[in-house]
Amino acid sequence: MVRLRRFSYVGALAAAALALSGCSGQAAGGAANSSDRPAAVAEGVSAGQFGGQQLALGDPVQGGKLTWGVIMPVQALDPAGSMGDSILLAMASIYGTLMKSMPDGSAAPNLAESFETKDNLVWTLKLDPKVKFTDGTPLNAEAVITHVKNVAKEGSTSTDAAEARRITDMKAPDDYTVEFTLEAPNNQFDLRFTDGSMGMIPSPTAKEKAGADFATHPVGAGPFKVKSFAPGSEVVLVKNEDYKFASEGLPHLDQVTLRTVSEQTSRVDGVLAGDLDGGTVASLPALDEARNGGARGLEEPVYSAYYLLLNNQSKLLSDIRLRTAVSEAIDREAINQVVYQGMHKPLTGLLAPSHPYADKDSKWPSYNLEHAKELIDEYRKDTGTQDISLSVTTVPGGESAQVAPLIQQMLGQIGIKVNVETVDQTSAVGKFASGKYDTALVTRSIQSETTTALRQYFNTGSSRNWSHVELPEFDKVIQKAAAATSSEDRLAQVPEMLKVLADNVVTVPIVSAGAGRVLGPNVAGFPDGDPNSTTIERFDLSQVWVKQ
Amino acid sequence: MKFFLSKLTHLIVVFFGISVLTFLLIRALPGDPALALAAQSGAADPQLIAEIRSDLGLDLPLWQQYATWMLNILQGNFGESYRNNQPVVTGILNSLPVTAHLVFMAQVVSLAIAVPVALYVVPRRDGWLDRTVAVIVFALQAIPNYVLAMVGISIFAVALGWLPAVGYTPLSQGVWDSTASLILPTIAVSGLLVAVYIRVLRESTIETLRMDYILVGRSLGYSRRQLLWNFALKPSLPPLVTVVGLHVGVLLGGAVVVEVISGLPGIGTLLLNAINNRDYTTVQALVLLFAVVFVVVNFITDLIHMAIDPRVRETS
Repeated sequence: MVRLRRFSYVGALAAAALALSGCSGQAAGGAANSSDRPAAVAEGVSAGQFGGQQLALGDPVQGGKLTWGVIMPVQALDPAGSMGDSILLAMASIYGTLMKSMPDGSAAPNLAESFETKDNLVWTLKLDPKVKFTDGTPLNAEAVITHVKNVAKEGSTSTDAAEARRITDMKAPDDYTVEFTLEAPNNQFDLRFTDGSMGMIPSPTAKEKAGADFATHPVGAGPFKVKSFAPGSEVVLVKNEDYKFASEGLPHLDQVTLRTVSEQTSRVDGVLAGDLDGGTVASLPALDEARNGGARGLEEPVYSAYYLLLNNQSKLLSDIRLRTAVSEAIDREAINQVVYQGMHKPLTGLLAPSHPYADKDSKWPSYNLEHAKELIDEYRKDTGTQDISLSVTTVPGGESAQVAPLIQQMLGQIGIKVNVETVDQTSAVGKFASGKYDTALVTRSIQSETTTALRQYFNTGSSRNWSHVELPEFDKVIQKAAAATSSEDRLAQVPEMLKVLADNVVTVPIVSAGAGRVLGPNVAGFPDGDPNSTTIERFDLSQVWVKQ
Repeated sequence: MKFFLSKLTHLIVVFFGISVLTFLLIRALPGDPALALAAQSGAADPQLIAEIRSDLGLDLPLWQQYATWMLNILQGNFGESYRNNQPVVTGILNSLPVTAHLVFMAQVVSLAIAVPVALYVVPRRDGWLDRTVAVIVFALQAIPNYVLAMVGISIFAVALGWLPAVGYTPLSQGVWDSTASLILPTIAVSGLLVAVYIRVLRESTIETLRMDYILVGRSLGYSRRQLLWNFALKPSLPPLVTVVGLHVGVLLGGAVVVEVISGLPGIGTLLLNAINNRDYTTVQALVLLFAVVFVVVNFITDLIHMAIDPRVRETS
């Protein structure tokens, strides 16, 4: 009976997949005939340093323009408070970052000269006196201190606000040195300056001059500067001739237009029709379809996955038997087949199988319908609760809207009534953060560096602990990792962290995510993405070049 | 004069009615702007939410928030976006040309197709051509505009490469390029309008052709063509003019979805982003704008009615 049910949706998948492949095949045929479009098997594509793919057709070429279709509307560009996938891409291009991520998960100087510590408690940042903002003022210690104070101030909406508030003191021994003293040792403090709020420094002079308008009139020291900005629509960036790495030919491009095209299908169509030079897609079937249509596709090293988030503080899910039953009722392979055409990977642990610390030893409850039913029966008997109802919160569109009905059907098999609640992205984040939900379908990224994400997602009191987990034994391991004196010692704590999380079934991993870049024929050079970023739409625009 | 005063009073009443409704409805939506702003940091710390709410004046009583908003509007200040502190009017002025261009093209194309088709099938009513047009009209009414948008992009932009798939080229960069960037969205939003206009004009013309004076004309030896174009067309237009006016609202509503699919930075995209971000000031200003446009267009419709129908002129 169980198998039959499973085959029923696998059968539906097969029919849908056949229909879809038929459609895309026709599109591919039509597009592939065009001589100026790249072949489906793209030349110049190779493995990148971050584990994804990169493109290099010959040597880099200087000049030219690129139009990139971004996922989210870019509304504001002040690193002290503006956040979001596409916003980070734009801000990193305008402000640059003091540090940059390295393939081994460490941080290396970028706009900064060095960032060092002896005890993980006092960190010394040395700035490069040659680096200037595009308004001609220096990126000095005062600029860094002013910005970090803005990030930490009361009412800040920055993702780094909590981290910035853990800095107990900032001193400037000279104009180009900042000494940070932390409230507790943190051997990853420099990583906070590779992405997001703290690493992107705005010109304090420009900020003071623009006041509240600074978010739409940004000035930084990155590879590009703003030519025009229509919030929510497009940002046009032009080359910063005085960029720190200008002597190395960076950025290659003269101009970049970041145009909002929120619909994934429209982004791909825009590339295929030649209106866009590229865009990001958030699933491997979408990347495959774009390749079939004649575009060049680069796979990105995303260590993110789809999860059924469980609110561990909710009345029902505070009981580990119910959390386990939910995990055991979900047939991950069926979801992968039905929704992702078998291209993603069902998860057996918290981390994506390609992740360098993918957990092989922790025992996460996997598909076991009979045991799930037994747990539900036991729960009913012990508590006298007959009616078990849960909500699954999801956002409209995308794959999660397809996964939700499958979850509903699967949990229905063990007697849990599921109400699918669709809310917009903003409301969803608000509900998760405030704990006003039962379960939710989300994509979460656990970067290769691992411990930072695990701390954000599961440490007691963390602003991103949307599962509302309170596990003292997990918090202890996190503290131990933070106090470690070497990366090796810190990362050695990861298996223990994963074990504690698995033992408590704090969430339900479903399938690995996938992402890629769809590139048009004009793009000749494109870098591998950064798996340490929190967003899939994060790559170094200064490294992109186009055919002349 | 009395007519104009009556219309002005109507406009003011509608304006205030819509302002109260919009003000209350946006606040009835789940979620709030303070939470939305706090949520971008991934946190929902009650203290942070309270601080943001206080900054935005959302902690004041509703009547006080409404009064402040209205007083500001009467002084020409529509407020600032919660998201980027930019004046709402600036955002609207940036987006308005795109939507105005789209709406104008959609109306012109719809009328350019509907009027000749309707007048061509009327003398052939119940024939095979009339029936074929009826089927097409039915289909156009049934197909959602976003389907037309996606199919149009797949065929004319991706497969054939004739037209742009996404984005808008401003008029300042060339009339043809700008018009070309809106052809597919125009087709998508025009589908329903063409169908409705054909139906309305066909029905009203058939009705007119049944009137006594047309029979008299026929008995006097006027040809079918002369009767249709010289005597039946003008009296048949008022229902079409009314429907064209009423469908400005439908057009603006349809533009929201089509703009998002086609990556057009118009009013529809602005509205959708503002709703998702719970950007109250922007949503309120846009809904008021829609209401004013709707009332003004209906006022113009009444003027056209007066111009083409002496009976309306007399009663007004």
